[in-house]
Amino acid sequence: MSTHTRIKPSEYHDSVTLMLVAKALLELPGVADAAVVMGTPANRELVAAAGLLTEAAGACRPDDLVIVVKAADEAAGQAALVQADALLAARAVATTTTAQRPKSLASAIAANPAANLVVISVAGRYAAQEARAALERGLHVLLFSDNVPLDEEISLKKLAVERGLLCMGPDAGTATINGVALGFANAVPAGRVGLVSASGTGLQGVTCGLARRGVGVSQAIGTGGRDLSASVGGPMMLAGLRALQEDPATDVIVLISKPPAPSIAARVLAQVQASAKPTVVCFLGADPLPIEAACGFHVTNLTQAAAAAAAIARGEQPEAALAQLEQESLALVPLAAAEQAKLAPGHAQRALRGLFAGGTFCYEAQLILKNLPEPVYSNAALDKSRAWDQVGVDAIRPHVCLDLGEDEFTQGRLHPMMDPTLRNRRIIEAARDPATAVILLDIVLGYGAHPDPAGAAVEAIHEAQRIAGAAGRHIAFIASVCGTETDPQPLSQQEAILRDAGVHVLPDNAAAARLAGLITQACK
Amino acid sequence: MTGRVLASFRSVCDLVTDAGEVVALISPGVGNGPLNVVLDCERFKPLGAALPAGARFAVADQVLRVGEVAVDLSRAVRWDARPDWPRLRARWERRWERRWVKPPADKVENLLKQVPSATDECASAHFGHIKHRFQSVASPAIEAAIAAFGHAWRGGSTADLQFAVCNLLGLGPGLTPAGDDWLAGWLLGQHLGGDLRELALSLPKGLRDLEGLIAEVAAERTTTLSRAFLECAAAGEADEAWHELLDALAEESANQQISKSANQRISKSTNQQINESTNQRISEATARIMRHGATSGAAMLAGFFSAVEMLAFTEN
Repeated sequence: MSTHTRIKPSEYHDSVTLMLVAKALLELPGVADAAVVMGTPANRELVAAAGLLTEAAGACRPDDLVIVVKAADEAAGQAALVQADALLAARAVATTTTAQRPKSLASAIAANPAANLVVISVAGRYAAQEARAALERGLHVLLFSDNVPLDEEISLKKLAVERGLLCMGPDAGTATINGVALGFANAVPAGRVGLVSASGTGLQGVTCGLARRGVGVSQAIGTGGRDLSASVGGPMMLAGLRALQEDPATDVIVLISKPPAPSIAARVLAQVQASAKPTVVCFLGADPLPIEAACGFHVTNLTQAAAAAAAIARGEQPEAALAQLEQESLALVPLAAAEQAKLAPGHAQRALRGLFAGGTFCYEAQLILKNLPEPVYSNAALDKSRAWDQVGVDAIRPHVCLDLGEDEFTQGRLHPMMDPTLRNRRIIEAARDPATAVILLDIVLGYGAHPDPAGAAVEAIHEAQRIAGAAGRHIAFIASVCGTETDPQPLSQQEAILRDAGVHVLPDNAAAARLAGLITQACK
Repeated sequence: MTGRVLASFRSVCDLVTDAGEVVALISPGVGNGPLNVVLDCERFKPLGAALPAGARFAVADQVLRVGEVAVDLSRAVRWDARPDWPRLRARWERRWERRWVKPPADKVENLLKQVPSATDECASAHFGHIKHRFQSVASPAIEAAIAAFGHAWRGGSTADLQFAVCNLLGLGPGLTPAGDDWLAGWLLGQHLGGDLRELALSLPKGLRDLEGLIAEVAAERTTTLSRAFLECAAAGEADEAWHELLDALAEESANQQISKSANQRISKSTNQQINESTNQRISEATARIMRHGATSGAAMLAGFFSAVEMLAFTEN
């Protein structure tokens, strides 16, 4: 280890800059510790107590900026100091040349009076207050924040309905409004299919599925996950549905959710029936009869929703599109057989490990896998009897699908769509388990997601393959990539990265889950 | 008067005179403060582009010239950075209904609950995530220095207090070190208990000029800018957000207001509305303060509420 110092005499940077630079240095490879502080006597004592004091740092004055880095070697230390210089210079340019950013809703509105939508992402206990202020000012809201109390959500949506506004959320992570992607959304072409969804990754899955089929989106409205609960009553699903029914730029409507509360489903389906505009209804796992009775087009998964809506938009029969999907799934059988043949003799390997960044993908996969000989357990299980817990479960419960975006995995860390660290760790853990036969992943692209999700997973996949190979085992890696060619992470490049790593890449989550199921159900 | 640009940011440009005094040129919208000269136009926004650090300035004939900027000071409207402390003190005592020897813990706790942690992530980067050695050293050091200061203030010797002030000043991360920010907030809180000069009369000899002690120590132990803020706080000066917070905290409850009007009744919903309105003011003011720097606002609030806890009132 070596300690490296940079003194910047009489150089002032605002506290946020100093904090961000310190954080950035600590994340550099080879950096064990770092301090970015003003050179006051008290801070020099702190630096000394942390084992970072150098002669240069000890001689500085209170108005000097002191950067100290402890690194694994000289190269890492010098690289860190160079990075610190660059970050400080960049922040100095940003803070001295860019326009002032508003620090409150009122000042933001004053600076941009033409805005008619507010995206709110603050801690849950303050989010409702900000959302209410926005609605009272006549603006639509995308409420990205979670942990907003239920009664606040009910009150906000009531206000939104009274004002003829949309209150998308809370916990609404995805929307595309008038061609503008909000939150975790993909770059999808404009078109004439409108969507309303209580599921963020569900919305991404269907809009990307439409894009794959050359069909564009008019509007993609997110409602937040609780909208269709009995307590909330579905106000935004209904408002979004009505808006799309009246929208001359929308020809086909898609509704996406987990099964709503029965009374709310009835209300929504009544609204579906009230319009002649074709509506594809994807209430995952729901009873098809009420949907069909309401003249909605029932589908069982997100891929079917995209295929059916695309067909209708092109003036084709959606039934034919679904039949085509069934045909394509038959091609998975020989692929599954080939993979199954590579597993350890004696069928000691039989377990499926699904590691999902998207909650709806996890849910959909469980629906597709629910007829496996052995049950699938999950932290977001279809029913409570399949609930997963963290205490030594995997060894005795063969199939596990984890939603790594759930609260228990995201306390104090970023969502897995942005930070692959936790999933990568779980990939390697799964590889160490001799029972693991299949590792199933969803790779989600788009705005807000990791800049290279496939690349970020590949190192862990290679390590997992090495671990399994050293033990004489093969693991089937299966992934679907949810994205488009025009996303910041182009779809074909991401798929190629995974294929080059030996991963079976399927066009959608349903197909990936189906392949995973075919491989494991042959294992006894 | 002459001097140089000490530091320049997007909407703030700090100037230091050759005599060591600090003045801040501020873009409109930032608000009034004890060091602030608020420009009346946005022509030079962002300020940093027009006023680089190190540039010289001069004031002559009531015009401040620095770089291409000329500020006509002759028509400046003076803003009083000192809240009306006597009035605030009187309202504060009525607000909390009675004097007490020790502030009830639940009252202070309720006050603290109203402090939004809008910059939780920023604050925890310094005070919460003990992952690396420097942070693991800094956080307890700051806490220890604060604890030592409180102990010295309550009953320590002159030397204890001087030592504690020395330990706090210049301590911790940030352009204005966290210990300074805490102390600045504490100083504002102490003004609620009485003018520091009056307070100092009850202190042992040698501590009568607490302002002077801090100023003297700060000159050697902290940054020029932070010293300037501390001197303002010691003088009972604060920016607009603090004025608003102090006023809101001292706001009387609806029942207290109505009790002055004979035989008037107030509906429960009106009472609730008035209280909600007060809470809203407190929430918004503390949110504004929390947006100061990465942790400066949070540290100042912590110091202020520590002072509230330390305030000793005599029983009626």
